[in-house]
Amino acid sequence: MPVSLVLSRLGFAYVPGQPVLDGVDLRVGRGEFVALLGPNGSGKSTLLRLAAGLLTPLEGQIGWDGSSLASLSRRERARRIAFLPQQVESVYMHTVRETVELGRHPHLGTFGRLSGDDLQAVETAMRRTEVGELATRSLHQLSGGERRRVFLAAALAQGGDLLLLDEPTAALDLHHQVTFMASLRELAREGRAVLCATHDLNLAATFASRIALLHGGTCVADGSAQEVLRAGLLKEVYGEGIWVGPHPGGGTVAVLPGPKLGEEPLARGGAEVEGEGA
Amino acid sequence: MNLPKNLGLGLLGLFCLLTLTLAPFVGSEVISLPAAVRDLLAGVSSPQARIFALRLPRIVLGLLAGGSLAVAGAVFQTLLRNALATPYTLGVSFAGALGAFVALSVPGLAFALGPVSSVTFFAFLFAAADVTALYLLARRGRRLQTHELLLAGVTLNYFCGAAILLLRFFSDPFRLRAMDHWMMGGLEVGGWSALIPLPAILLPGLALLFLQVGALDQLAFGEEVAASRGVDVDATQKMTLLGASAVTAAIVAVTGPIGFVGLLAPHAARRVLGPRHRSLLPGSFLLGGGFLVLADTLTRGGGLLLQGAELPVGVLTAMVGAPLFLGLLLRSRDR
Repeated sequence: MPVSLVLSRLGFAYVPGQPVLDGVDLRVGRGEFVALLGPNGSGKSTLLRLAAGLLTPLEGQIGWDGSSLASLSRRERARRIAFLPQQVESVYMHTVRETVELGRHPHLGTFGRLSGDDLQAVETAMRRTEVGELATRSLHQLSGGERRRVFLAAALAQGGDLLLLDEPTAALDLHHQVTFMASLRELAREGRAVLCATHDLNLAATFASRIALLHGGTCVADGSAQEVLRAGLLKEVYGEGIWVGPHPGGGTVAVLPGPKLGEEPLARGGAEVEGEGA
Repeated sequence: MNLPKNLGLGLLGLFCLLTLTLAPFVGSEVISLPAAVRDLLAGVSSPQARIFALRLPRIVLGLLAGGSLAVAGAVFQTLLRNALATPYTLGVSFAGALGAFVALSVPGLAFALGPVSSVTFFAFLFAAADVTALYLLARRGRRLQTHELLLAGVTLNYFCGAAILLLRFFSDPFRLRAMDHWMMGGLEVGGWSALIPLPAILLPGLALLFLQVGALDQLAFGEEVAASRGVDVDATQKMTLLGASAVTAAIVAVTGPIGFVGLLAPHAARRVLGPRHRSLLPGSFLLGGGFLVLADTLTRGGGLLLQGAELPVGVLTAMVGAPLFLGLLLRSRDR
């Protein structure tokens, strides 16, 4: 598998002396869907912003497809890397088609005329994310799940092979979380590299090809769900109150709320499985 | 309403053209166009020709002022990511008024620099100082914090308002009358000479804004999205702030603060053309320019009914504009 996104010894601080990231090493290859996990404030969003080129690393290197991110112009970078922040909102009532078309920005001239290639890319992206029927609707009329798909379509229309997403499923119901993550897995299988920050350990376990766990400014674990989602490690990173066991539906692992701090452990069955995980 | 963009722009252009054509004929004196043009071309100084020649610069100023304020309003709404932003949100109007009132109050400041009166000069100077101060306040390193820009702008607005009241407190009734008149905003200029300095600021200012249409489209989705799509967010924010402020300051300095065009016209144009700036900016210019010329024509027509007393056009735009804007607001809520 050719290595695509390479973060090496990445360090960053918003305030000097208080590093958010300190020596992070991470690789995301084409065809991989990597879930980025970590507690609140562990630097997931910062890492994504660095990889998207929105922030400049204080230390270390970011490479994409063999070239250093710093050597690319804004436009070249935007043609290769698409970033979907946690919250995207327009102040205006864009139509769905307009929103997806605006994703083509790095390919357009000053006045934003779309060429045949651009229109083709927009069509493909809309078909791919199943927002074609919504094309003439206004963004404000859509549900949260539909709007997420529209912005994913805009990111696809942008044309890059590296997709960076920050908690894309945060406001969605379970069905839409599952379908959205499944479409990310599909996009990765088509040859893109996908890096997605999320708080949902179960979604990560079910859909991601690899999981990277951030804690204390570094990547403390990087591997399959079984390798990373271990009770001991999760207790160390997130603290008490997490139960890990085999997925009852035949998936990989399942993570559930466990006994709270200072309380007696749960009934026997839970404790046994926790023992297995650790 | 989603018309094809070119049809929408064409309709707005037609509206603008109609108001421009109608405007010279309405006023306290009724004139016949063929006679006026014939006299003008022949160099005969008939009353008809003189009135026509007086109304023309006023109409052109109305087009430039309404158009520029509408473009600036559209840009400020995107730049500040606030649909209720106007060209005056950052305090350009009150700072300009303060400058104008200083020129009216301080003895020895009544002078003229060629075609530019000291009132116009100081209004522009103070408006420019206001934006420069805001820019310096809202800058963190290389980046411009737009929410701080907004807060600092509102604060400076209050400060200038207080300074204006202080000046008024020490002014005699004659000066107070002149101040009120300026504050109402109007297009009554003596001739072409008052318009001469405008192109020097409007042309580069508007050109700067029109060159940023693609980047402005992206800024509507927020700074992170814009940056991830290759927009130089810092440069775009600075360029558009500079362009929109300069254009607003120049218009305010010449006409006084004419309200509501800069809020209403971009919203109405967006309803017809959608939010893409490459059609929104020209559409706003046509609609804002046409609207202000129409409003000014109405004040002259009203003057005909009120036996020569013309309403200030700034009062009319606000009184007509406010209900129109509320109507737009209610209709967009129903959608």
